[in-house]
Order: sequence, then C-alpha cells, then structure tokens
Amino acid sequence: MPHPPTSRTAGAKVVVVLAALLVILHHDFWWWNDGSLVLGFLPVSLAYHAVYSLATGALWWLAVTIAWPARIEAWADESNASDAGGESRIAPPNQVQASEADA
Amino acid sequence: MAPMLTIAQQAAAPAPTPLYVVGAYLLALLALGIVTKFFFRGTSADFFVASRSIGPFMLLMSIFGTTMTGFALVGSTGEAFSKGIGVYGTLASWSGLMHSAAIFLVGIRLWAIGKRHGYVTQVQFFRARFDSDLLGTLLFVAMILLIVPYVLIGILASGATVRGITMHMFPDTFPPTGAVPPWLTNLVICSVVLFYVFFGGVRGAAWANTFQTIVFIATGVIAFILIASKLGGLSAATEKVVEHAPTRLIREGTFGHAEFMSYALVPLSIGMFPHVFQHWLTARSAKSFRLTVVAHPIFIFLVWLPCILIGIWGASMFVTGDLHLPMLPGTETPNQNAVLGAMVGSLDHADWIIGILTAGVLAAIMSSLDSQFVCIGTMFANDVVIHHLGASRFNDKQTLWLGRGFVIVVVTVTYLLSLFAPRAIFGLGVWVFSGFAGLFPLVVAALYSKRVTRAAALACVLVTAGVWFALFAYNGFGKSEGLIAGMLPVVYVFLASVVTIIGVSLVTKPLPAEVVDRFFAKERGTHTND
Repeated sequence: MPHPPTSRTAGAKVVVVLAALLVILHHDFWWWNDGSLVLGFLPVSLAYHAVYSLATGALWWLAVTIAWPARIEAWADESNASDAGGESRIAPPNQVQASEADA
Repeated sequence: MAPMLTIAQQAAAPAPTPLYVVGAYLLALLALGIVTKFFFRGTSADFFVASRSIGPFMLLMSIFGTTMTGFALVGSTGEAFSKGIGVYGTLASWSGLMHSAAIFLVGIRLWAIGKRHGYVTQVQFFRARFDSDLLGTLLFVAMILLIVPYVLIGILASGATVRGITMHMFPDTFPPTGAVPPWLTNLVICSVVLFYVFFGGVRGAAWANTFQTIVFIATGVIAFILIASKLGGLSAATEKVVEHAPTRLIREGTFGHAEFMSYALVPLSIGMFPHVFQHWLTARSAKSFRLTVVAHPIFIFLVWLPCILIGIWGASMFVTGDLHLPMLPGTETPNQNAVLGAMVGSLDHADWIIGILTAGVLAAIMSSLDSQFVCIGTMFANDVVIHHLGASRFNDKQTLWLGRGFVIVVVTVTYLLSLFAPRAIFGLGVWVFSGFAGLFPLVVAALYSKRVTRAAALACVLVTAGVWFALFAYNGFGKSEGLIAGMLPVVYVFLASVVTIIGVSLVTKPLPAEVVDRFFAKERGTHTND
C-alpha cells in the first residue's frame, strides 16, 4: 500500500498528473495499423486497451486512497435531513423565490 | 473444415427451449418485484431513493448495471462486427477513466448535496442551485427528450437479441424468418420491467440491477468461452479473422485519429444521466462510492472485451457464410444489432444454456430500462406534480400513480418508435450520450464555481439542446455519425456548452451568496470550493 502524501491536496495533484498521463497514453497511434496478435488471440491494440482499463482501475484505487474528499463527506454528515429514515413523506425542497429578472 | 455454425443447415425448426428459459427468468424478475414490495416502506422517500440506504456493493451493481445497457453488449458486439477492435478504445477504455472521474468528482458531491437538502431528482438540485423555476422546467423537458432515445436503445436491443436466437424457430407462426418479431419481445420486456419497478421503485430497481448485473457478467463470460470453444479456441477464432476479415484487427480505414480522440467526451454523459443521479442519491454514505469508482473500469473490461472479440469473430464467420443475419429493411446490409443474438443462438449446446445466455443479455438491457423507468416517474412526480401543484394536492399513493402513468405514456411512445424508426444501437447510443455529455459542463460549473450565473445556466441548456438537436436532425436522427472535421458531434455540443457558460457568466449578474453558499462545504469558517 503506498504511503499517502501528507495532505489530500498533494494526493489530488498526483492523481491529476497520472490521469493526464493516461489521457495522453490512450491514443496508441503506434499500433494504428498493426494487426499482430498477443497471446495468440488478442489484437495488439485491443490488448493494450485492455491493460489500459486495468491501469485505470489502479489509478482510481489510488485516488480513493490518497485524494478522498473527506471534507465533502463530513459536510454531508452534518446534515439533519430526515429523508434517511424515510418514515414520513418527503417535503419538497425550498421553493424558488428569487425573481427571474435578476438574470 | 465443414462450417460448424450454419443455422440454415438445420433441417427442423429449433426447439423453443431457450425461450422457456428466458420466460422463467422473466417470471423470476416479476417475483423479485413482488418481494421488494414487502421491503417497501410505503413512503416516497423509500420509493424514490430507497431511503438512502444502499451500501457499496449494491451501489456498484446498480450503477454499473444501469450504465451497461443494450449499447454495451448488443451495440458493442454489432459495432465491432462492422468496424473492428477500435470500438473498445473508443468507449470502453475511455469510459473506465471518464465514468469513474465523473462519479468521483460529480457523483459524490451531488450525493452530499442531495442528502443535505433532501433532493430526489436532478431538476430539484439545479432549480435550487440556480434559483430558477424556468431552468427546472427546461431541464425536465430536455432530460425526458434525451431519455426517450436512450430507452429506445434498450428496447431495440431486446427485440434484436431474441430475434437472433429464435431464427427459424416458429416458421408457421412468424413467417418468413420464423423468429419472434421484435414488436412482441419489446412489448413483453417493457411490461415486465414496468411491473417490477412499479412495485418496488428504485429499491426494486437496485435489487434487480444487482441480480441482473451478476447474471449478465457471469453469462457473458460463459458465452464468450462457449463461442470461443465452438470456433476451435481463442487462437483459432482470431486466426479466422486474420484470414477472412483482417480489417477488423486494425483501426486504419475505420477510425480517424481525431474521431478516436473525440470519443473521450462521450462517457462524461454519466454526469448528467438523471437515472444515475437517482442511484447516487440512494447511497448510504460517501464511502459507498469507493468500490464503484475503483471497480467500474474493471467491470467494463470484463464485459466489453468479450463482446468485441465475439463481434470480430462474427465478422469472419459472416464472410465465410457461417453466420446468417437478418438484413436491414430494403438493403443487403446485415443488421449488426442481431450479431450477438445470432452468435449465441448458433451454439450447438443444450438449448437451456442458450436460454441462460440470452437471459444474461436481456438482464443487461433490463438493468438499464428499470432505472430509466423509475427515474422518469420520479421526475414527473416530483418536478411536475409536487412542484407545480403542491405537496398537499395529492397524497403519496396518488403521486406515485401519477408518476407511473407518465412512465407508461413515455414507454408507449418509445415502444412505438421502436417499431417505426429502427436504428443501429451503437450509433444511436453515441448520439444520446452526446446530448447528456453536452450538459456536463453545467453540472461541473454548478458544483465547483460560485461565479456561474442563472442566465448562464439557462443559456447553456438552450444552446446545448439546440446545437445537439440540430446536428441530430441533420444526420437523420441518428442514422449517421455526423463527423465534423473528423470529430464526433459531441465535441461541438460540448464546446458550445462551455463557451456559453463561461461567456454568459462573465456578462451577467452572479447569484446572491445566500443562495449559492449552501451548496459548498465550509472550510475554517469561510465558504470555499473544495
């Protein structure tokens, strides 16, 4: 398990850089016209993108480990919303009051 | 070597056993719907958002099942049949990155906001965020208009799949092909899904999705193994493609570079799917999202990779005359929507296995339809009935039935479209996702920018919908891809959305702080973006 950075912001930056790298690596132009096979049955580009999918899963594991939005989570838990119990009918959200003229 | 899978060589009509198995599966779903009724707490909170009680595993299953539609199985197989292995890169690998990004960056925040403010629909959030009834109305209309072709994809896929496995099965009842006609399959599928969601609401949909996602992943793997085995093994199957359909192994000639890259924007549509939004709101906690974010790309890999291989194997079989497909009406072009069903139906295994595999495909289709149906009813009940007529005008039961009535109307319209406006599922799917993706900048702006204005949000919806619809109509309502300068229309729809939001925000008055601040988490006594 990777040692998490000292702050969530640093973790987020790592994830952003890796995600950007994955975006760039998605375009495997070097195999555009290559029909050779890997493991005897997988076209090489298909194999590459299959591995890409697995790498993406690893990226998101890293994201939930070192860049988890804990503050959002805490903010949600501050809520006193009664809908979690579901025992009474949901009251509609606050009705719109501002004038459209402000637009 | 004599062809092993030629349907036309069968002397007698195939036994209807696969249909009995499918029928049994549908009955099981009806029973599930009845069972979930006993867990239904009788409140609209439970019906619409399962009382926000869904844990990590079911959240993963329901979100993944919802997003893996007939597009993912039937559509991807058919598109790979036509265009080869590049299809995986256009959407599967992009979706693994972009879907999880949207869930992580948008889904968790929307869940938090939904929990704090008691929302059950997207429209409620946007209406409150931008303090605009008009925006709510526009979005409601836009979402319903985009959901219709999305539901159409599922309906088309179910009809094509069952038709594929029942070719020559009932020669006297359904001449000339002897296959169960799509109008009948579509009617049955819509009715079954309506039944179990009417009983259990979104909790029923979540349970059904969990069950069906497991079914379609498991049967997908089994189908892949059996089809490969029948073709002589993985290597032998692909070698046939090398020999008979080598263009399916590369992207040269089928995808342009700009086009391939432009697919990146399509998966962002998940950020604006109203039915996925509703599933997000069902989460028990933020931590429930972790498994979904991480596992989503892996599950996509498990589902799409076999489908792409089956598609290209089918292409070689079609060239050699070993796979027979219905033609598109009035043409000599094979109906690519029927490829998966035909490949499964051509297996010479026990008929009950074919039935199970077919049920798996239908499971994937229905796991999206149920969420879409629930969502349509939820939106109508909350965004139209309760919002415009008042919460006290109708009791819970009446409100739920009004929602159900609206669902029946929308599903009926879509069913009729399926009879008179068939389309290639993959192409139609890309168009639908492009419309939702075009609105993604709106939700990002709403969640991350306090500066975006009401006017910008209104303009964004109008401009995005207008640009999308103009391009959609110009291209025969989904008949063609509509590439512009080599790129998908989604690029231009998305660009129009971004330019509109930023441009109009810069020249219009921002919303008051007391309206905006309640949607942003505080930090050390100040209101900031996270």
